[in-house]
Amino acid sequence: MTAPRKPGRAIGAALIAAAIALTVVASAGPTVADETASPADSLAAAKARVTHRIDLRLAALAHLDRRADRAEHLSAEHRDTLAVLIDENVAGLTELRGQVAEASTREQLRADVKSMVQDHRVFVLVLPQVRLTLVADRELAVVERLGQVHDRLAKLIEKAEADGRDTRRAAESIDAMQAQLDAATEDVAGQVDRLLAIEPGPDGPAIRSAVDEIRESLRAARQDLRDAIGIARRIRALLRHSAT
Amino acid sequence: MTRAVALVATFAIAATLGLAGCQGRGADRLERSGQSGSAATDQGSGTGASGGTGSGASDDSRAASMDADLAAVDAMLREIDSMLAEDQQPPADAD
Repeated sequence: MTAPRKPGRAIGAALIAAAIALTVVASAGPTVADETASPADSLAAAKARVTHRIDLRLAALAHLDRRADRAEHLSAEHRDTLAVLIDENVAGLTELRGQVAEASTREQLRADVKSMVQDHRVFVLVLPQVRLTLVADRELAVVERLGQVHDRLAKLIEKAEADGRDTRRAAESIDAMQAQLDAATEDVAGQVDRLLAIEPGPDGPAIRSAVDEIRESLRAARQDLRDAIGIARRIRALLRHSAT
Repeated sequence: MTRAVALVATFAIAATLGLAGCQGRGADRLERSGQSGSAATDQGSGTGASGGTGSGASDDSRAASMDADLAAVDAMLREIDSMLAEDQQPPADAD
């Protein structure tokens, strides 16, 4: 189900990486010269720092873009949505990078910084949107796969029962396994839609809180699945034990 | 003469029936062997990690398939863990 990489995006990522390498070298922290510089030089140093912050965001987006491209168990719809989300942010930040280079006053630079944060919310929102969508789709794939295991275990229990073996504990456990799978499905249901509907904006704490809530739900699903695997293993052991 | 003709005819009929019988058994054998071959094939393809077990699959092969599935979902959960851990890393810059 892995979609082929888009050559245009790969080239774009390479160009971004090259630009970042140059900028990181050029803006590697404040120097003595920055502190003793004239007002014009101070603006240049501030521009370099802002450019560096933009590049950190572009680098993080390029990393997540590669991850989403390689991801298995990502639905086609979510793959497309994430690609658009990343592309739009890369385009916006790249344009902003150009504006920063052109800024001639501190006011212009301040407006660019505000835009970098509030119009994108890369670290607080976009990166979690990508990562948690990958997590949610993978969890649904695990639910499906464990559902198949559940059905096969149920058949083995039926057969063992028909053979006159004691299957009471295994039968109880298979119900518990189904309950864990149902809980995981419920924990994941609708979370990606909620997550991708969150928009960047000035209210950082509200965005963090909304993302945290979804993150917790996906963590709960992960625990449900971990428990379901444990129960499946216990049923296997019970069936093996009852066969001897 | 008549007895000789009758004898030849009897041999001919007996040979024909015998041959047909042999062919029938041979065909049965071939058919059975074909069936068991396809059953083996079904079993081989049906016990894959993501597929169900074929009707001829033994309990052992079902169990082995299930173990493979459980190992696969374990690996998937580890990837989920790693992604959730990455998501909890402090950001490179606050926004």
